Amino acid sequence: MSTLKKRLKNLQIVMGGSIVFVLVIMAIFAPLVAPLDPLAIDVPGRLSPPSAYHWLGTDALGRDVFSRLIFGTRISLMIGVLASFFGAVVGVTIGIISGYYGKWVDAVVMRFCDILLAFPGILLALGIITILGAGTFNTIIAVSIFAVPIFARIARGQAMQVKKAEYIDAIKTVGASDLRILTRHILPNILSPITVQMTLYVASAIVTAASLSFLGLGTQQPTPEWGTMLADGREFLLQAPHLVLYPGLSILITVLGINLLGDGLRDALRPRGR
Amino acid sequence: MKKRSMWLALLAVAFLLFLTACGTDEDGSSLGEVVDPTEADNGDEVSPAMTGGEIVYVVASDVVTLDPIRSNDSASTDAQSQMLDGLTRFDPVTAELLPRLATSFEQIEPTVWEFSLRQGIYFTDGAYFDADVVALNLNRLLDPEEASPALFIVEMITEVEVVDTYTVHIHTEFPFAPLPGHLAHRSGFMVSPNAIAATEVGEDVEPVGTGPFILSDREYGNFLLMERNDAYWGSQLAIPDYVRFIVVPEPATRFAMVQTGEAHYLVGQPTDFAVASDIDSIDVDLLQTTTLDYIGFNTAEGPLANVLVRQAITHAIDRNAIVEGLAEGVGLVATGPLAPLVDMSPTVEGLDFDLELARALLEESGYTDIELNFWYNEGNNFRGLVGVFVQASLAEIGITVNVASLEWGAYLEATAAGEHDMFMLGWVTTTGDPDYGLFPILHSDQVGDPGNRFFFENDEVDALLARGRQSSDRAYRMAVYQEVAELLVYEAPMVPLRFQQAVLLSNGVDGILTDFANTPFFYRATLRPTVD
Repeated sequence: MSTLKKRLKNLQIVMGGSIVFVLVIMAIFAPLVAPLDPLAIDVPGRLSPPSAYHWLGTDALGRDVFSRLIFGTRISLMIGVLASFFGAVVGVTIGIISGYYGKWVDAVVMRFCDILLAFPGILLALGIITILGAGTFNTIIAVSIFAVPIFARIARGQAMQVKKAEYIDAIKTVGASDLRILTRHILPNILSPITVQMTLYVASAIVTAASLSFLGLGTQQPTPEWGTMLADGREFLLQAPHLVLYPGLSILITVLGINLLGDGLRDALRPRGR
Repeated sequence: MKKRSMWLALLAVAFLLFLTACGTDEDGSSLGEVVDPTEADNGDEVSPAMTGGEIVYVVASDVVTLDPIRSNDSASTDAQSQMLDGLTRFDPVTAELLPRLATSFEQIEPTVWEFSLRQGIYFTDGAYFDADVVALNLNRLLDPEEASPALFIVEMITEVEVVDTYTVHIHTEFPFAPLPGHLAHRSGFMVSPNAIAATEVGEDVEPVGTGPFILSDREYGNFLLMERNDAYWGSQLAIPDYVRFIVVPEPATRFAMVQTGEAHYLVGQPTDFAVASDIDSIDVDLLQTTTLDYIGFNTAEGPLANVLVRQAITHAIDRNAIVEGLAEGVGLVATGPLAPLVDMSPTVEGLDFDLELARALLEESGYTDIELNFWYNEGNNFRGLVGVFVQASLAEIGITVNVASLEWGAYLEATAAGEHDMFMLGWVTTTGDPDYGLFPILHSDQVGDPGNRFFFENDEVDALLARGRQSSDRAYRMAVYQEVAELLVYEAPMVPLRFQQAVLLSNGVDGILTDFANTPFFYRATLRPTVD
């Protein structure tokens, strides 16, 4: 039984990893992969169904949906990865400081995190976008701010655990500075849960960013973005269902791939016997 | 144990679903009883259709206000038009201006109009309609403290003189030919004096009128229900028992509601026309309106203050592609500012789509590296598409355009404050008179919030518009408006795009009358018997 489980886990990593790999390649080489210019307007050919020339049909302005999806991969992955990365950097920094020093530092930082976590993710992002204004870059900021408390909590918990370890006491007695302990001894020890969380957060960041764009607050026209494509296609649901089907599927497959990978990684990196 | 509670929960959900399904059956069928046509108080052929019943009209946004002097949106106008009457009205069928609560109107002196009023009319709260009520309502509209957005429609009125119980003299600052048409505007609707007395200055009045329907129930953001006024003064009582406005923001959902018969009437998107034509349950009608869709320029400053730049942009936009393509041929390509349906409408050639000429004009202007914003109101997908189309078109002549959508209130505020470069809006010539179609949006007195969002100030246009509204001579007025239209082509404060055709979708209902401003009237509507 346990071998079967292990095999399934491996399968998860392989599947998730392959999806993510393909997406990354598509994003990097978008201009080579996309058969047509994603911005080229062709009004007479608008809303045409999938065909040999337009593999996934055209949108309301006659732009090639497949090419737009490929270029959209760039935006979505970029938002996902950058938001997750920035969120992790800030979150982990304040998290390990809070966990290591404890007392009032911990209380202040954690209450702040509680406040941020009290808002549903999309609501917080909406609030931030309202202040900063719509756009791809601001979407990244909004989504990463929401990630901060998530990473901070994980980092704090791990840091509290690690700081009780005997080897920390040992290097303290030989006079290591706090900075050195935090960066050289605590941080490396908590990296694996953070990595898993980062991977998983990429998926939710993509969804949040797509939701913002769907509401018209994220990436702006004419940049191809999945959420925007979904929102624009919604009006033509009856005439051209392919306009919502494919961006929707893209988001689904991407999030599924990243989650499979993240889940697999979590189990692979989990210390045995716990 | 855990599993068992899960099953229980599932069962409970299934049961609830079953209960709600039963509920909709009761509410869903809203047909009234069949009435013997001989009993019906009208001369129309009613049989074999159903009389009574509830007409469901699905709208995109909620009625903002039921106070006629304060509304500025179509849902509010639509609702008010079922409950209130004005002195005059454009006949929904013939588009002819007819007396309504008046029996006749006449320009007895250049600056005095005499209105004779209909006798024996009561408001639904029992108040009597007479000359004092007319004065009260018009003075309320004219009161600067009420700050009505429709003030510009009647601002030439200097005095409302009550001559006797059924005669009113309306004095104007200058001879004003289109006055009776202007009074057909919703802002001239008559509201009961009791309702006005119960309202503070600046507050919304209750819609107590003399119309075929009475307000019955309202849930903000959800629905508005009106019931038949059984004491209606007209020769025919309304046919439906109820008219319900249901608010559904999602266009696809609205469409589906009409398709399935959950709603009876909808003003669709241009693109609905082709789809609906293939669906048996939906009756589709195209209605030519007086509405102009246009792209406006902020002519106050920057490159757009230069007429060559404006002409260049106009030449770079292919209107045909927008109307035939993006609007799927629903509507007419606009070359000038006034729709053919508008009285005395001028005909002009307009600036052709010509990229070479556009580039040449831009070069002549001396401007390079122009970057402009293009704003439209959130939720208006057609305008969004036009925005992206314009963005791509202007990229061809080296102009960068940033397209953004703003929430409706913020959009109106920002364009009134002149923060925009380019914007897209529609203008409904509600009165069918060229003065209404041009003066409010192009005269320099109207700059900003009152309606001139182009910040267009041109002495020649001002002078012509003033002459046009002060004359009663049709031939002279026609010549004046022809000249204005030609000047506007050259000055290019806007790119006229399309004269809208409204896509009217209905299911299972006959007799809804819609006027050229696209306001529906439901009092003659009959539901078709459903076939089981």
